[in-house]
Amino acid sequence: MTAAVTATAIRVSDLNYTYPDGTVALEHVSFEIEKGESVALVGPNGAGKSTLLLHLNGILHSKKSRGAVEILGETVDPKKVHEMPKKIGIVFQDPDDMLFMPLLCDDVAFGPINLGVEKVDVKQRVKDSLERVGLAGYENRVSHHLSGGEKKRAAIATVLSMEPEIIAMDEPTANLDPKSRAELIEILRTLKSEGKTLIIITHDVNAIPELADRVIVLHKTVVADGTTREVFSDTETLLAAGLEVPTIMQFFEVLQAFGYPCNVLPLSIEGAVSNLTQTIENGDGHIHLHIHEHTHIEVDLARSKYQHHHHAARMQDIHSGPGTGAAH
Amino acid sequence: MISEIDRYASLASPIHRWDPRFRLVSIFTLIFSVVLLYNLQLVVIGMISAIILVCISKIPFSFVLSRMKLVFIFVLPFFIIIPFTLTDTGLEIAHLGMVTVSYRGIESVEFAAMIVLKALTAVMLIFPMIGTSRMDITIKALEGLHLPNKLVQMFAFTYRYIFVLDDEFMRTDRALTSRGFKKRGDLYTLTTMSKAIAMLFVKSYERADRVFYAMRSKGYAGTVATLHEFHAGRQDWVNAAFVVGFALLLQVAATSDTFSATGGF
Repeated sequence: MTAAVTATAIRVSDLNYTYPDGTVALEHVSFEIEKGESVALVGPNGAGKSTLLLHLNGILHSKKSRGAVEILGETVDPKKVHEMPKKIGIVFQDPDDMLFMPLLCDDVAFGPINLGVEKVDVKQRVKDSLERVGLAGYENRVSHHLSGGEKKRAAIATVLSMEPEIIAMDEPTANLDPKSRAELIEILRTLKSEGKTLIIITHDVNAIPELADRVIVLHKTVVADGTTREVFSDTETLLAAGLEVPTIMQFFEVLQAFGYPCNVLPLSIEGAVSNLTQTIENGDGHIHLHIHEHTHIEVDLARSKYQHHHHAARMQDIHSGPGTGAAH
Repeated sequence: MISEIDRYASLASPIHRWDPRFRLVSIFTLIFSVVLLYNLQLVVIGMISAIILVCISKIPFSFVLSRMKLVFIFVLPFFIIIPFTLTDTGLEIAHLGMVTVSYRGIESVEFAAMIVLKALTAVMLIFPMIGTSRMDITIKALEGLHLPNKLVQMFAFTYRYIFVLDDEFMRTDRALTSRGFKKRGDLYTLTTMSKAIAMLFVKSYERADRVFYAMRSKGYAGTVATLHEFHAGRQDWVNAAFVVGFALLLQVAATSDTFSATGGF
């Protein structure tokens, strides 16, 4: 990345939005995203995540939102939405909404043509963008005949071809089979390593450690904002927002109950591998697990910590008087 | 299911190779010419030309005929309506029970035949016209012919989303069926179906909103352009001259006394 004159990619300050029917969608939303940062935007259904995304390039706007969003140092002007793709590209949740042209190459060329890019360059961009999402040679395919995974990747290509500085995506890994999901994560990781600023809406908590350095929890307003580890350590806030932590993290907490020494819970498989390696090296080639009289209670505690129905029940226990759970 | 008119677009024939812009204009001229004819013999000649064009295009006749069935059912009543609603019968030949046969009546049957043949010819010509290239190419040809951009966009979006809507309706239909709904001829069926269709409209409206958002996010400011380029060669002009020439010839023949208007209408 170039040494930035304006290091801030996205600045949202006190953004409010109410739907025409009176439902409040966003309330006092404020955050800043630096250039080159990769941020996961999480939150329960109906938390206003997609609505927030549409504010970033001025498609959605209201009196209350005027001047609240700044992209690359410039305030978003709803009258100049068609100039925004140079700065920020948005990948919508449903690729059928994004692939509206007869052929895939038309869809990928649509953005650059609108931006006034020379024809020769447009052709090159179409080729490059399709290649980057693993759809080389798909130029003359009809988009409604593509598979779900291909459509998702094609939708990303239509944004890449505009070469925006920031890419915002709405649930890129949703509704995909494991292979397509893995392919998509790989594409996003490449974009991240290239230094693009990414803002990714997702419910896929297991993918977040691989994709994002930072997590913003949105529930009409910003509930939590911090590094991925910070946010995932704050179980109470996450559960209150109807979310969960990566499975690996839950599993290592269970391991802790079996006596596994672990101060910092790993968030991903990669983290787990290095954690295990470290522990085995420290333990002279072994890891030591055991079961003693309190183990099952600790395991139960670790398990129920992240389960929503258990959590609700536990909260009730706490409120209704001294429970039997805390036996040590 | 939406029948795909461009199912045989990948065949190889002189018509498939013909530049779509020329093909559209030429065959459209021929359709117009046939529709304007008022002489049964000339309409038959037009029909033969349509059959020849379908033959050249190699589109299977079974496919063409199966798609023409509906049109045929629609125009068939003319055979009954025109002869039996004749008020001025003229010279009568015979009486068969309630039916009166007259020269004027026979002429009106010819007239009905002409209308039916015209309709069938026009529909049949659509197959070599737009069934010989993929729909997207046809839409680009319209763009290449400098049709108003808004119109081209309407065609393009209709084509793109008709399948999506079709799928959506199919899903609704399955959801209804899987919960024990059966189509009958009663009011309940009618209200249920109309509610389902109304929901389809609401969903389409919302989708239209989202597609528009997506277009705006990609810099849409009113016009849609694509990169496709057409290259017309000599053969394209020759084909066009041939078909348009034939269309004009039909019109010239129609003005001569040999082919007077059928039925004297």
